[in-house]
Amino acid sequence: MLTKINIYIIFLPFVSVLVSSIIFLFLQILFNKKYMLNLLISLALALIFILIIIYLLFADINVHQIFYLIFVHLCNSFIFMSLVQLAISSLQLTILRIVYLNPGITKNEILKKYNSDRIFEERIKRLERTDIVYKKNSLYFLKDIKILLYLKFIVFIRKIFNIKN
Amino acid sequence: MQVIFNYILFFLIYFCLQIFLYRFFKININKLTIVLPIIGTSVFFGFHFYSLELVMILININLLILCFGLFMPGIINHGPGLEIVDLIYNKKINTKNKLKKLFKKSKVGYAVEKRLEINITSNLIKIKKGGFFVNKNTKIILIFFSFIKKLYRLKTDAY
Repeated sequence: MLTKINIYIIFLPFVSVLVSSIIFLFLQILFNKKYMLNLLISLALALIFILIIIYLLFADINVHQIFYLIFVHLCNSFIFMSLVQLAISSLQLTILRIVYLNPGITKNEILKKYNSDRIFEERIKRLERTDIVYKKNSLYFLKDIKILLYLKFIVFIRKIFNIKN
Repeated sequence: MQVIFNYILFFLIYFCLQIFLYRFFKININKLTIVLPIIGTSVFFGFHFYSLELVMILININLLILCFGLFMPGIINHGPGLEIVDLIYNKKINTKNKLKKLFKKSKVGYAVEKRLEINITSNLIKIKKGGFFVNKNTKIILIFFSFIKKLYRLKTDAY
């Protein structure tokens, strides 16, 4: 049966992501340098917000409902993070933007504007800017070891799916 | 606890099904065109049957599928940033020239051609007299992402 409280429970994790998007906006205005850190902080704060609401308002909440609230918040956070990341670094979107700005452009013209040389330059600069790699005596080294966990995870998943490089 | 166990079981079954279909038939079941109608229909049924439990289960399952849908392209198409990290750490390449050379030789070196092909096959771009044009829906997608970029003051690489 869908009571008023039940409706609140259903929509609460969606509200929490809205809250995190507002916190993210403020953090971006105040500290624009590290967007990923801002994003993680905003999502964590929204999760805390959900937990406080559960504690204060829903006294007789069951395990299934708690699981729902946390799980949906995490899924929504992943979707929100993906949208932000897509806006920043998606190659597919960049190509669409080039075609949108230059209607009738040919494949060769796209490749002149945007090719592997340019992608390499952009990415190496961003890796430096985000402190993932650093340059010493014109040699590049890894600075942030956390990225290796992600790399290993991706390599593992690609092996399971039999995707070759 | 039984409900949580059921979710984990569902996740494992769905993940194994995706592995099986992709490994042997190269079928990605996590396309948004498949996922979104399923989500719409199931949420409608959830509210129609007026059951909190059912609505929660359907939202959980659909969100999980949607997350998979966003996760899979990142797995299928290796990102350029990760390729550079892989070259630096695993292949021990540290000079810029060597990095660039190997980067261009790898699959990521052909990323623009591949993404262009994906855009054409997914009808985001149409071809007229040898030139490319974006569709109406693509314009909406681009306006949406441009709005996100401006709103959150995100620094993108290009364009």
